[in-house]
Amino acid sequence: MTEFLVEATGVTKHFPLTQSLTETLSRQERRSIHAVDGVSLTIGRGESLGLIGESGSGKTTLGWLIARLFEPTSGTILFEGRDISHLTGRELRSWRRKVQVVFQDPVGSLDPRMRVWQIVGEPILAQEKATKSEIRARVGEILPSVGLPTGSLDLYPHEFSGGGRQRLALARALILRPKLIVLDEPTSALDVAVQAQVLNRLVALQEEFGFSYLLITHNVAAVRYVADRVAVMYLGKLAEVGPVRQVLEHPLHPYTKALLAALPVPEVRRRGARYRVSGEVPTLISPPPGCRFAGRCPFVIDRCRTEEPLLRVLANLPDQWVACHRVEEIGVIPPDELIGEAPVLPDRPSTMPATPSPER
Amino acid sequence: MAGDARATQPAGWLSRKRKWLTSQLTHLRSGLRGFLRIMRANPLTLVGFVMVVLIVSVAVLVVLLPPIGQALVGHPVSILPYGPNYYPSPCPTRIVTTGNYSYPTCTLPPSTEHLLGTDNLGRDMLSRVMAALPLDLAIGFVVTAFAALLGGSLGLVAGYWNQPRTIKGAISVAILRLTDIFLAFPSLVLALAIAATLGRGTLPTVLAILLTWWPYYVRLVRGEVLVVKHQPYVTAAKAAGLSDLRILIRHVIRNILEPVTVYYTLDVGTVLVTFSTISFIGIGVPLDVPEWGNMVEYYQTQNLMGIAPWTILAAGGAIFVTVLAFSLLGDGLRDVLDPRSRRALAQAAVPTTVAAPAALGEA
Amino acid sequence: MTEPVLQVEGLSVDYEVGAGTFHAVQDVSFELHPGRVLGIVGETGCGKSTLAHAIPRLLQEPPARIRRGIVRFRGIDLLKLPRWQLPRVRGTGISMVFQEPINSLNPAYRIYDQVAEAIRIRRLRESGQAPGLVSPQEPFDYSKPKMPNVGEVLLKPLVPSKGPASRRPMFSKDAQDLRATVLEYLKLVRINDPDTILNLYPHELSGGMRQRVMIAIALSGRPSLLIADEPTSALDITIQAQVLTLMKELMTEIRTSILFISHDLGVIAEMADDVGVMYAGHLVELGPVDQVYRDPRHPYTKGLLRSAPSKYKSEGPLPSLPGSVPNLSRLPRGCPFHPRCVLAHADCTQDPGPKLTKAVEAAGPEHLAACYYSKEVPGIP
Repeated sequence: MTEFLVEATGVTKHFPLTQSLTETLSRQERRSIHAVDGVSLTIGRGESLGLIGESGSGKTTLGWLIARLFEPTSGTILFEGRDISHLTGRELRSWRRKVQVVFQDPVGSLDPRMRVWQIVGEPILAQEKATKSEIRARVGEILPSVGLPTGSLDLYPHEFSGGGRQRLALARALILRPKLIVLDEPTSALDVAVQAQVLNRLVALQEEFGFSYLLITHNVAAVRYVADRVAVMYLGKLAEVGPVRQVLEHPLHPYTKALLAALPVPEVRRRGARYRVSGEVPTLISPPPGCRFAGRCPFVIDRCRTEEPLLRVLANLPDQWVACHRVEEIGVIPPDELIGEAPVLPDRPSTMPATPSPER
Repeated sequence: MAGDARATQPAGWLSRKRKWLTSQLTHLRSGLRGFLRIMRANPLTLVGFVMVVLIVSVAVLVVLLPPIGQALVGHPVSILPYGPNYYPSPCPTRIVTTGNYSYPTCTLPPSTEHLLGTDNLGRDMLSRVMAALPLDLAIGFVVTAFAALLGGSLGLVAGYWNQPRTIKGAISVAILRLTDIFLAFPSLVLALAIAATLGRGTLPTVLAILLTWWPYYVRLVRGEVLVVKHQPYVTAAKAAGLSDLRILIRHVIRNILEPVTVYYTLDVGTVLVTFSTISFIGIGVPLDVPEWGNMVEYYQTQNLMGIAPWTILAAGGAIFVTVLAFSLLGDGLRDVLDPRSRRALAQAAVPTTVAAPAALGEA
Repeated sequence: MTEPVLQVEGLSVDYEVGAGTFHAVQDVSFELHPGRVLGIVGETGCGKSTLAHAIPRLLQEPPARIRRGIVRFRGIDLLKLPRWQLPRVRGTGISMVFQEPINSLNPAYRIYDQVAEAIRIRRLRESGQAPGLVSPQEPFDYSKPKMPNVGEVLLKPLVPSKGPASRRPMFSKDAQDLRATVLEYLKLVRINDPDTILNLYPHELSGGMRQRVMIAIALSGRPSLLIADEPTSALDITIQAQVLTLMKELMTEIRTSILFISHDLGVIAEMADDVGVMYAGHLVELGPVDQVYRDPRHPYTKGLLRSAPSKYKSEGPLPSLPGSVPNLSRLPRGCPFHPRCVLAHADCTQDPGPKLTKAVEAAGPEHLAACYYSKEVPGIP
């Protein structure tokens, strides 16, 4: 028994780009999208880890690597001390009972032609030999715990509202009592009022069953409520990892600060200029050396462009890891006081093709 | 043993059975409602549907009535007014005048006795057209079905196992290249060439069509599989630990069935026309077998268009009506299965009753 | 008080789908004054987007049907206008910015052509070759509306097409002038390198950049009214912040009135002067944004504001709004919110439901709420 449920070390995932014929003939090196680049993190038993990042940050890829929907290019993923990074075939399939995934799109992730009991009972069918009536009985038991009536066994997914469909997906993830549930943007398709219901349910379920969560989202509010620890990702690397309250209230990394300052808050407050980072998220194809955030960071120095900052822990904050060279100087400045310090950087258009999403 | 269990708990079994029955009935009713909605949305679909039902039942009667009659009353009974190749000898004639010539002919125009008239041998056209119906329809259905099965399974393989640089991927590429070779020829020309090589007869014609028809289904099914394969629910099934074969059966096939059915319905008419075309050119079905294509060809070579157009029109009209029926039905089905209109229907069907009690429980 | 740019009175829009009639917008009335920003906020399916599309009559009819109402834009009732006259109002009178900039830019044309097209139309309107029913704003000034003679307008052709601008010679004085104007507008939306952008295609730009171009196009017609339908919902948080900052800065430079549609209470708080809250097709609350947010007078607004999650797990469960949004084809009688409302009394279930009236004991007279018990709303925990 190890201390951690999941222990990922130097996990990397590169998606090779298709080459044109001339490129192949001229023996050019195959270019690839560096979706996840040398990420190490741990998830404890019964812990929920929030993974925040914007689109293209590689957070979904990382989640799918941990759920082994992708095979890592390099690095190891230990699950309960066992290396699962290169499992295949039957071994992989039977390991899947320990990790379940709730996908972003509650409409698309439920087969429109199946009834509730078939959808929710699918993991049972995959892992065990069970008769139809057994599956129905077990699905009927699990439905109330996600807040759906037991009588809805024979309905089709389109007969549910968005929140109801997300509950179905959650029930499917729960039915085998996994050790870890990967939640891939579970609330992004839901309205505020429904979001609160689903988040409450998520926390209640964790208390009841005691599994771990990996919550992948761009929604800071969801992470704040569900997560114990939070990891901030930017361009395939971790920028900052730490306890949720500490990171959200005293962010150290310039990117985390920018992200939190950019959140629109439903309060009428100072409408003046705020700390904003300029520029756009650059492409993940052959990223330059140095800090990934250097191109947009208002505090950039030459060292940032040449030397990659490693995730390190500060002397006075033992739980909070941050990857920034200048964190000692800028870490203490709260985001709201950074107004005016952000120099206007040339707002270069990204003429590179948009990053293909790794989900496809 | 099952009987014992039933005997000990009859009431429970009965109530379960009743519950099952009522649930089946509700599903039937909801299915029927969907059907009615389709019909209301596109009335031409209903026309096509009724026509197809009529045509198929006539064909079934033509085939099944004689043996049933044999069994029941001792002699064959048929809905054909006359035999397909029966002609009275000598046949009743009329005098036709073209230009300076006058000559007798057995072709009689439509009358109460012969609803579609008679041909140059005095054979009843209605009987001939009806007698040809089972063969033509069977060709349409069966050949298309075989093509769909063959092409469909190849398409399934090519679409689902298409990872590059693996053995499976190589198989998939091989299938696709073979398909491309077949698709490079115009289908009718290829069918004619094969039919001509194999010689005259029903079976060679069927083979010719089958050989030219499957590649379209490879393309169609592969495209659909590629779409379904990337749906999040397939990923979800993978994440649940389902094996590839199970995913294929449970999710992929189930979701591509709809577009394939539509295509199939539309294709039945096309195959029928192609079959008739091959016969019309004179390399298909032998003349003694009643078939619409070779009827048109035969009457045309007998120069009946001028003096007895009803002969050609009856056979041609039969082709027209049958193809039209399947086209209307297929078009209507396609409209209904179109994702946009389907989404509208699904949206309209969203009840809030299911989510509401659950959400209330949350408060 | 100045004449409102946009006056909507009793607007009702239905969708007639096979399964029934959906009342997407019901009896909505509001006014938008020059230079103000009115935010419309609501959950998915509350009819806010339908409302946004109904004003310039961009709805597809059928299935949509504008049942009744008046949409008076600078004195013209748009709902009474014949359909073929509508292009004369759009662009130079009302422009729109949509959620998905990739879908609203034509992928086959370069950015230059798309911006130039809008400017060319405005010029045709100004020069009288193809006058609009309302004149474009004078350069960034709303105060002088210049109405052309309507009878004369009817005889003029709609915009004569000349094909993409890039194919025409770039050397004439006109073309150079047009190019300069395009550059000016791209600079206006803080694109630092407009010369490069001009020759790119929409797919070569990032989402934030595309939305800037869309805003440039929308503004280049010098519209009196800009309708922004979830303009930042598809963007990342930091990019969204950039675009919102840009729009805010532009609002002070160009005094265009904006109708800003969003599901995000935070975005509305940042952008809008006034806010209208929509629920199940009804406008349930309307007022200055600080008053509505600080002291909501409709139970739904209160619930919506409360349910925005801002707590840690250790602080107990998140407050949430019980129940779910009703089906728009089977709305409850009376007030549409009464089944989920803690204040509901017997009279809330009676037709007709509460009308938008001045909220009792509100801070200002402009604060309206459609609730009989608006006085008791502050007392809801």
